[in-house]
Amino acid sequence: MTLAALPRKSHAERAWHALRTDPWTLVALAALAFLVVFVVLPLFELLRQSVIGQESGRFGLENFVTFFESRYFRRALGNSFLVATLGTVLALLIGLPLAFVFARYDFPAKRWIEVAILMSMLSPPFVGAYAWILMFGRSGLVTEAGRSIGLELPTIYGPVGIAIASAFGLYPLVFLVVRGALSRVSATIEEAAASLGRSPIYVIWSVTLPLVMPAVVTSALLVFLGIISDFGTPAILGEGERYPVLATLAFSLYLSEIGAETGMAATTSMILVGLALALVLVARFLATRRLVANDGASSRSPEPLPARTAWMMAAGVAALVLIANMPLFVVVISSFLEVRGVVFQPALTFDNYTKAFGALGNALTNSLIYASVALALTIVAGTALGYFVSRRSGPLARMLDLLIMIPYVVPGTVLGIGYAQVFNGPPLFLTGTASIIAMVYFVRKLPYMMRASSSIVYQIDRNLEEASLNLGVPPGQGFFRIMVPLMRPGVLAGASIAWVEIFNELSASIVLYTGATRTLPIAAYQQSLGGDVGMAAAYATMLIVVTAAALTLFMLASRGQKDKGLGLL
Amino acid sequence: MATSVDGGISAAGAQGPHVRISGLTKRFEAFQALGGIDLDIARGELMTLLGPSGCGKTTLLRTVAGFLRHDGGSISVGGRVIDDLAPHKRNFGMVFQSYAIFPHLSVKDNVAYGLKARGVGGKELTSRVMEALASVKLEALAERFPDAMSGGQKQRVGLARAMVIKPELLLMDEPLSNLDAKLRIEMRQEIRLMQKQLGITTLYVTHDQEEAMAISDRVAVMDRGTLQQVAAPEAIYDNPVNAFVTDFIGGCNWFDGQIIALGAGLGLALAGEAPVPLAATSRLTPGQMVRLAMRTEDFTLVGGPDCAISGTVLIRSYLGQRTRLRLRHAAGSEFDVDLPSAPGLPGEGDVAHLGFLPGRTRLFAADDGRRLV
Repeated sequence: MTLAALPRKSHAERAWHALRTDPWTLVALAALAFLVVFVVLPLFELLRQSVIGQESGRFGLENFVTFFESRYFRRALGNSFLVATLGTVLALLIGLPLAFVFARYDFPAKRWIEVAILMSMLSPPFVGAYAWILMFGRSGLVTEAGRSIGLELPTIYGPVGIAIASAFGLYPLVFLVVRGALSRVSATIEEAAASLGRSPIYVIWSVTLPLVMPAVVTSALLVFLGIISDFGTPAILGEGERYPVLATLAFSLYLSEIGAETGMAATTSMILVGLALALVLVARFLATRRLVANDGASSRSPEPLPARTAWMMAAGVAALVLIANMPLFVVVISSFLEVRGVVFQPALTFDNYTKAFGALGNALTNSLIYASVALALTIVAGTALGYFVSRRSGPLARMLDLLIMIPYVVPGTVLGIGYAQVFNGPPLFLTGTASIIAMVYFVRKLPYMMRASSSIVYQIDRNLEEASLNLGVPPGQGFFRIMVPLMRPGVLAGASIAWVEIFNELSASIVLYTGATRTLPIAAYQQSLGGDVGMAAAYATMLIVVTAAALTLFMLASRGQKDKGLGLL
Repeated sequence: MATSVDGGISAAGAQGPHVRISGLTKRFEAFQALGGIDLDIARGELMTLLGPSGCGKTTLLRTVAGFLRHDGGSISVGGRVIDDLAPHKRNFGMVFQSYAIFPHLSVKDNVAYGLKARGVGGKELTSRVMEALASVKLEALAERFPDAMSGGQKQRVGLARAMVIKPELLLMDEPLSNLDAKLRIEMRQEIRLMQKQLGITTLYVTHDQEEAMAISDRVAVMDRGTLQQVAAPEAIYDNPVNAFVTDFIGGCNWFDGQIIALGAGLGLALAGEAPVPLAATSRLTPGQMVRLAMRTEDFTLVGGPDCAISGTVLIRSYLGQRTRLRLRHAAGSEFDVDLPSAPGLPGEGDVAHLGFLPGRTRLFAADDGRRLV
């Protein structure tokens, strides 16, 4: 027995061994260095600035004291909470019944309605906000119509408007998460409750709801996080500084025309990050306490309904989803309407597009180039890192997993301000360049891609790679011949969502753009903020069209890939 | 890169063991997975690693495959130490419990995968692939994709894929555990037949003792990271070296007892029974606490109360040629006995008087489970 004589390897020895035997370690180390520079450094810089007094220049909590002593700043914090709370409640009110109906019943056109629900998630949030202005703004279509019959509608600007627009953009999140949980609740659990003599309503209340509660709370937290992180919606519907929230406050402090207050911008950013972090931690805690609601025997499948009821249900659901998607139609239609002053006229025209293309400059090409570069990086890095964190254990994998998820929590505006602060001089002078925008796109969406790819890797049998090794194929080659083809469908699905979000990104790029690096979302945002209403609608429509076209391409591509993968001989 | 089994093997290599595992240790954090394994496998032999889950059998197999690196000891194949050889350079075939069939490749391409890595192409590739598929009776499904195949068919593909590269050593990690009972028996016969025909040295892992008995030249029983006994199936069953092997292979009834002086010799005293005389050996001393292991078939029915052990029949189950009695011993414990089915067997509620078949009483030390008699 050589047991006693066995020396324990030190960490350094193990690390060296890992480096020598596993080529992936090198990839992971490079990623780690990148994340330190492009995630940790900017945030650390903001943290540093937040604890250096803007007036005194001394180290301390002076800025935070200023923040909480100022009525204006406190109002922004309160506003953030108010709109996020209102918006979350609304999103739950729309999402929960939809989730329940979809999980439990079959009705006509279910698949099409589902596609429509997902569509409302795929349009850029501030386009939705702008559509609400087009309908209910000061000279909105509905407002004007009301006025013509002597009816004055309540204003859409301010907290209620922001909450409504946000809720209609984010309710699909509630729908997806809760429906997933509901369909995992075993039918037998409910049948058991019913067999004990309980009425259906009571069974839902006493058994089903408690079981899916963690999912409901998780989705609510995600919606809340989405609303407080969003810049475009409150900027448009809050009219900038008239109704400030944390994200717009940080932005205007940083880019204030009367001398930028970088210290206070950093402080506001840190408060926003702290809030977001707290939400994510709560969500994580709840996720670990998820109840096991399935005995494995029978997963839930929806029940068919009597024809009459089914049609009524379909009509109700369709109406709700139609209202949620209304902003899209309104934007597209109004882009073809004649504008007189700030009011749309009932006459079709291409004038808006003529003007929009005239003032477009290179905004569209910029957007396409930056987004494509960022997407390519996201796909490559997301695939590789998703593989690494799910197939390797150890401190390196854990640290990467953590670092990559930071940009998921940090609002875009905050990351943008951090970038502008850190990369405005040597050694990395990027401010004002195209690469800083592509980089911030890339870093912001890497978490999505990595999650998408690692969740596929988890589903792929580990033995496949071992079988490949065993058959004499070296590890690197095996990765490309086995893992890449198997990950491809999932990566493409993740990439299509990443594309939508990258192409429509506003909150970080709005901080970082210059005249030469203006993008299409920025052009649309600028026009919708007190610019030409017709041009704003035209730009927003262009965003929608490019997004939809890209999604169609992705769908075609992934279908093609699958056929190719199966037809290979 | 690959030396094939049918290639020129030196005389010295052919005489020594084909695979030699010596002093192998492996630790996962605080858990000692392998505690010094010494095992030789002869050329063409089918060696089975058998043990309960967590005993280290899969760890040992994966270490041989090169997926895990051992902490101490060494592995050599054909006289060559392979400790630092990367898994893809070992030329071992492996069959997995999960089949591990590449889902994006057709059956044919799955089998061709390893051959292509060896630079085989053209007509040779096609003919060897089809030959391998023929040997597992899957020629007809060559163009199929794995998603439309049954577990048994997938495992046949896995077998063909591992065999076609003419591996130096075939590793099988619970290959039949995911198949249903009938198919399992059919497949294990096929595997054994093919292994013998090709004379391929095989290391086979299973937790199913019946499977191990049926398929192996020799069985290596493992428990808690160490080898308990390495022997042919008959020897493992008839001559288990310790209490663990006895209990794990076949199962048996355990009785606590004490060695006493009986007349001039020694006797075994079980609670509530008259002492049974024992042949004296140097390993037994009066006063020693022992455990008696009796397999269910090692009892015989005796007429009167002058017996080794007796008990009240709780349940009598007719099982065809045998009848199983579940009895309650006077000391309170319950035990099972299989007797040839015949008229006049004791019924439920009767008291059965039983003797031990000669030579079938196995005694183990009560403290460490070592074999005494």
